[in-house]
Order: sequence, then structure tokens, then C-alpha cells
Amino acid sequence: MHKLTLVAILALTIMLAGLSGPAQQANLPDNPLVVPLDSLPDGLGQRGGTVIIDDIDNPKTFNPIVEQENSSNAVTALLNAPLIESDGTPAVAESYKISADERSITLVLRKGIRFSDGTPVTADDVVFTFNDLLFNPDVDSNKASWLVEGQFPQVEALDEQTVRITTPVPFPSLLAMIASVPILPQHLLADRVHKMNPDVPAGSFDRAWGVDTPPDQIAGLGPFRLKSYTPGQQVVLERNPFYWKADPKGTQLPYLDGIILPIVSDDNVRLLRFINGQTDIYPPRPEDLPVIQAKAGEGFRVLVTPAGVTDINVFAFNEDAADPNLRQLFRDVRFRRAMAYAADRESMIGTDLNGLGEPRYGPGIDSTYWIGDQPGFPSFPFDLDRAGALLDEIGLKDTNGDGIREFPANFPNPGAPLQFDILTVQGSTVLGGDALIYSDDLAKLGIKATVTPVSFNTLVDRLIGSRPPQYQVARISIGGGGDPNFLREIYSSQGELHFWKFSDGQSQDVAAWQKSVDQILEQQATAVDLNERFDLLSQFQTLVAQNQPLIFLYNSQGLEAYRQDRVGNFSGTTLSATLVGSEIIFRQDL
Amino acid sequence: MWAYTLRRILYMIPVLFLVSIVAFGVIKLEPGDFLTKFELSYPQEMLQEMRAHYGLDASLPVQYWRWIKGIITKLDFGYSFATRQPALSALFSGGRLIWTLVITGTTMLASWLLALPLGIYSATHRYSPGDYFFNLLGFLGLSIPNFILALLLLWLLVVVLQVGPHWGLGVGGLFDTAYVTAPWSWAKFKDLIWHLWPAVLVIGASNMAAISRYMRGQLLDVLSQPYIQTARAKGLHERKVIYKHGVRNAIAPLVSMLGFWLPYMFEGALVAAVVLQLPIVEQSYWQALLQEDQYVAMSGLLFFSFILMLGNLLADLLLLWADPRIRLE
Repeated sequence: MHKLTLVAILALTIMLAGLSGPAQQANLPDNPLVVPLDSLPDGLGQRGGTVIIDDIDNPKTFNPIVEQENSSNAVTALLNAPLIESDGTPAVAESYKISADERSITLVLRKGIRFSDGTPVTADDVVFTFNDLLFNPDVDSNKASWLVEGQFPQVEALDEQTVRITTPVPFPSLLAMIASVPILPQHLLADRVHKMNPDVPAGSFDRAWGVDTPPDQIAGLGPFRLKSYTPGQQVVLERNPFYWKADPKGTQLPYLDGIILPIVSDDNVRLLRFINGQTDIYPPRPEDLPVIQAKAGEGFRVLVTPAGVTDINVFAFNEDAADPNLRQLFRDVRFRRAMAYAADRESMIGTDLNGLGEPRYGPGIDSTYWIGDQPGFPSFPFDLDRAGALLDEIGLKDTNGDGIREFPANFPNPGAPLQFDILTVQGSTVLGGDALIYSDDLAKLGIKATVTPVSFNTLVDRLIGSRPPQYQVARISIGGGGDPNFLREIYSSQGELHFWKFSDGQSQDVAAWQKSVDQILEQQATAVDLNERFDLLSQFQTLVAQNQPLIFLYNSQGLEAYRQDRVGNFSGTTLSATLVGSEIIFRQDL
Repeated sequence: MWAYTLRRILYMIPVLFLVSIVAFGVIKLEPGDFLTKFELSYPQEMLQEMRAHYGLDASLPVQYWRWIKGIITKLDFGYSFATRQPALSALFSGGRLIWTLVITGTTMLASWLLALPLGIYSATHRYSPGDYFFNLLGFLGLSIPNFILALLLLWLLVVVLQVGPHWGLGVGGLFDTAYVTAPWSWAKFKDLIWHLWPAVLVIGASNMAAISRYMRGQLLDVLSQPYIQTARAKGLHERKVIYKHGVRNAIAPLVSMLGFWLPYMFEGALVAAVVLQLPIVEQSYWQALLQEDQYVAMSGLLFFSFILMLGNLLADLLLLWADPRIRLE
């Protein structure tokens, strides 16, 4: 009947309207990750708009397994996602369980999760990423740190959605390392791996997803996917329509329609473009702050984050120096402590970091274990008198009145003046500035220190290119994330970066504290109990700080700058231009 | 003349060969190689594998020989360690070669079109206020280093004139972000011109100064010749004297300089490329040098040497055409 038909049509219409909903809902997996409200500093956002941030250089590749530098990372970090995040929260995997014997992790993938080209993700993709890419000897990946007792972890698919990763012995870093692996699509990459497709030559995968690759051949699990790359000009990213996160209201993330990364290699020009309003986010240098803060009224905002604890900024004294006087002197812990007291950290921070840093007296390490701010931790505040007293104790006195101390009788060449070269990197105002401040203060102590800038390559060569290394003193910085396992390379006798005393590796004249450090670093690698590990690493930090094999200086504070009037939920950047939390950023001015 | 041209082109080959040896030697003078920057972050075994992979563990002559062999037998100029593309792609892809020619060509055209009349004016109105003013400009252009000029220009536009907030104009690169991938349109063309003029100014500034000074000098020389006096005595219109007789003769040596300007401009373009972010061959060459991406850097050097020699050849041919007094031997 007429009325019934009308009602039926109405009912049908209402039903259909409910079904069609926003198209995005159909693209979310069955169990999307819902971002908690308290992780959104500016609250819920709305979809739409693009954000522009300058990249420091052309990306070198879109292949996240073989990529090596920050300019590529700025792009690949937004295109990919791992099974779990570094803080242990689930990501591509919706849950995971660690076995009772702590030797294996079983992860369950989100049901219905898809790559950015719409292809469903299965456990096979995870197995492929680990076994055929990461652990494949034919692939140029950074795999050495995955070896546990000389073997790679065993990765197997238990079913379509479940993966198990097993190690021979408990491996405490395993979770953190899984968080660094982007899950890649087997259907797009298998034919580039020689092992799986003998038709391509060995090493082909290293060239897969290079910068010439058409964007439609690249897919990942990150919030964005590649739309276009114009070499020398810009990278354009667009929203990944299949992204697996949603906000508390159920809106699929990312909020932004796209991100554009123009390529601008000159620092000053990046600043000018930001001031000119062409870019929305800009990681500033300390000297840029006054310029940006002057425009606070126009929506420019600067964020200063607390100083990190992982980077090491040090003066290194070569305890294997060719000069026998220096060699004996540098090995004397009293001398090293004197050198620690002679470092005017406040001046260095004030001059070279515009005051944005904090002094450090011990090794850099992951913040979970860092104890540098605890009361009682060794410290060496600037004190030339104490330094002088220590030098006097060693017997170094200025005997001929020329203002420079001479070596006493118990050294191989008595009477020789106390002088050495400090190597720094040419063109680095920070390293060079620190070295100059230091040499000025050392001169007041009666030490003649000559600052010698050399190219970065030369410096690296002099530090680790030969055994024993060809330097006396050097001012260098090492980043590295502070992973305790990486620290073994620097602080263990056998470490490849133990550049202040490679002779420890030949068991020559190894100090007692160094032997303790070797033991501790060995033990912590297999310590599964977090408390036990924490204790071990606390001992480690204290020992190193007391004996100052390297003179630790400071850590710099992080700086961010962005357009508050345009961008909401900005969480910062890492490694020069990589956006953190890009999925929750939204445009305020839509 | 064709035999001459052919002979000149054939001469280029041994010269390029020599250039390649020198280029290789100079690049290898720097201690370390492409992988040195990773020494502090990657384990030694991995670095050794990578060295073998890239062929960097071989001795220098062997590395050079492999590269030259590739060029001679397969026209394979090696590949980029950074992007793993073929070296020529790394240098020229993304339209870089085309933009290089466009920018260099425009700069040459603009600098000559501006500089010649200035030089002629200076010569014909010697010691006038205009002459002094253009002299001053010329010296400024010659003495200010390219990169300072570039940064000054940008500072002027962004900080002093505030082109962004006031007129929505951007600096850096060839286009604003909206236009890079957009299809060609009148708006895109206008955007290009806006981004191009600082580049032309920076690259061409010292050129323009030099060209106008040379023009002035040459013309003054010619105008003091007896036949000019004769022409005037004949009753010829002054304009005809100056242009048909004066400039026509004065310009001949300048034409030969056209060839020299080409490589000179490429060098000036390098600074402009780095500061103004122009997507040209100089930019990729510069990056290769910084990273010790040796095959790309050497291929780039070969390319610029080839351009230099081409420029010289062109200059000679142009001179031949322009000045009937010169004969091939």
C-alpha cells in the first residue's frame, strides 16, 4: 500500500545512511588502536589540511631497512610502523605475551589491518621482514646487534595473525629492538630479494624502493604514504587511508590530509622560510631563538625540552699516545680528574649552546637507567685550584718560570714541558668553541694546549683508523641512543670504539675499575630482571664517572619551533626533521 | 670548418681522460671515504662488508680502472653510494639538467642583455654621472661574494620587506610548494619568474659587471681608431657610427668570452644552488662532494669539464663567424 511503501522507503533510507557512514570507518581494522585523550595536548582535532616542514637534504632511499641517514628517515619514519612501540605499547600488533622462560614473545596482529595500498597484513609479512630482509646476509641491514649467542632470533608464523620470536637465551633488549623494525609488504618486495627470486642478482634488495621508485609501488603501515618526490625540490606525503589508529571519538587518524617536505639544505634559509611563513614547523638552532621569539605575537612558538641523557660530549685523552710522557700522564686518574675540574662547563654551555644545556659528569645512557642527577653521584664542578692541586700532587711544576709546567723525574722525559694538541672538527662552532675555552683555562693551569681543527673524516681516521690511534686529545660528540649494548663498544676493553685506550683490548695494563666495567657490561646484557640491570648499570655509571676515562661535558636541551596559530598537537621532531606523532597533528585554522 | 670542429671534439677525449685522473686523485686526497662517517655508529664487520660491496677496499688504481673500464666499455659512469642510482641519474634526474640549462641560459641572456647597453652607455658617456654610477654598481657586483649576495637578498626579502606576510610570496627553490607538481599555468610561470630573478641576479651579478667593463674598454679602444674618425667625417649619423662600426668591431673579442662565461657561470651557480635551493646539477654535484660519493662527484667533474671545452669550442666558432679577419689554419 502507498503508506507502507513510503515507510519502507524511509526505513531503507535511514538504514542505508547508517551503513554508508564516513567511508573511512570501513578502512579501519577490526580493533584499531585508540589514542588516549591525554596524549593529545590540544585535544581532539579535525581532519583536513597539510603541514609543511623543510627537510635537510634529499632522501637517499625509501627503503627503511637499508636507509642510513636523517634526511631519508624524515620520510620513511612517516611511512612505516613496527609491531610494538619502543615503550612497549602495542602498535601493528594488538597484543603480545612473553613466555615464562622469557625466551620468546608471541605477538598477535590486529585483525583486518592493511598496508597503505589496501593489501591485508599477515604473519607472513612479519616473517618476511625479519628472516628475508633484516637477517638476510645479502641485505645491507644493521643486523649485528640482533645476534644472541651468535644466532639471530627465530621468527615463525603460528597462524595468519600470530608470530613468535624466540631467542636461545633471554634477551632483555628484544622488545626495544622489535620496536625498531618496520613491517614491510611481502607482495611488493619479495621479487627483489635474490633468495626468493633467483632471477634478480644478489644485493638487489639494497636498490629496492630507491628514490626513482614510482610511489604506487611503495606501501607501509605508517600514517602517511608517498604521493610524489621531485628530486632537489620536495617530497609530498598523503594520508594513508588504511591507517590503523583512531582518536577517542572514533575518527580515523591521521588528521592531516598530507605533509609536504621541501628540500632546503641551508640552515639560514630554513630559518628565513619559517619566518616568512612558508613552513609550519622548524627545528631551530640555539642562535635562532631570539629571532623566533620576537615573533611570538604572530603565532610563532618555541619549545625547549629538557636536556637528554644519551649523547656524549667529551674530551678524550689518548692513553696510548705516542709520547711516553703523555701516555704515562693520561693513565694517571689524578690527572684525568684534574682535567675534569678544569672544564668550565657553564661557559661552554653559555657560549656554544646559548645556555641551553646541562652539565654532565658521567656516561650517557638510556634514560631508564640514568642516575647522573642523583645526590652523591660523582661531580667535578669547575675549580682550577683543585685541578692545580692535583697536578702539583703528580709532581708537575713550573720549574723554569715560563708559565708551563714540566714533567718531574719519575717520567720518561723529565723536564719536558706539559703540552698537547686538542683535535676538533673543522667548521663546528660548538666543538671548536669548547676546545678554545678549555685550552684557555688549561693555559691558566700551566698546560699548553693547542686547538687543531681537522676535517671530520680526518678526525675519525685519527681516532679509530689505526692502533694505537694518532691523536693526543680530541673533542668529539657521539650520539647513539644510549642503548646499553652499544655502550659496550665504547666502554668495554674489547670495544671497537674504545678509542681512548685500545691497548685494554690486548689486556695490557688494564686498570682494576676497567675490569669491573667489563664484567658489569657483560652481565647486564643477559640480566632480565629490570632491577638487577638497573643496579648493574648504576655501578657502571659511578665507576666511569669516578675514573673519567673521558671528560664528560654536557647534554644540550632540545629545541622546537612551530606555528601555534596553524598547528595543533605538535609533539616535536627527532633527528633533524622527523616528525614525532604525525598522526595526531591537525590544522587549527581550517 | 667542420673538419676543425670534428678535430676539436676528438681532442676533448684525451683531455677528459686526464681530467678524470686528476679528479680521482683530488677526491681521494681527503682521508677516509664515503663510509667514514659511519665509523662511529656501525660495527666494524658491517663496515667491512659494505666496503667490499662498494669496492672501496680495493687499491686506488684498481678502483679507478674499474670506473674507467665501465665508461669505455658500457658508458657506465658508476653509481651513487648514497642513493644506489646510476651516477648520471643521481646527477641529472628530476629535471636537473633541464633546469640547469634553463637557469644558466636565462642568466647568460639577462646578464648580456643588461651588461652590453650599460657598457656602451659608459663608453659613449665617459666620465658622466651615469658612467660613475654604473661603475660603482659594477664594482659592487664584482666584489660581493655570491653567497653573501644570495643571503643578503633573502634577508632583504624576508626580514625587511616581509614578502611572505604582505604579499604571500615565498623564497627558496624554484617554485612554491603548491606549484612544484602542478601542471603548467600562467600562475605557475609567474611563480617561476619570482623565484628565478634572485638566482639570475646572484649568478649573473659579477658577470654583468665584468662584461660591461670589457664592453666599455673595447668600445673606447675602437672609437679611438682612425676609421671611426673617417666615418664621422663622412657625415654618418652618430648612432650608425657607434653601432655599425664601433660596437660591431668591439664586440668580437667579447663573443669569444661567451665561451668562457659558461663554466664560470656553472661555478657561480653552485653557490646559488646551495643557498637558494635550485634543483640543478651543481646541487647534486655538491652533495656528492660533501659525502665523498666518488663516482657521482667524478662524473660531475667530467660533465663540467666537458661543458668548459664545449664552451671554448663555441667561443672559437663564434669568433670565426663574427670577425671576418680571423681565419682557420
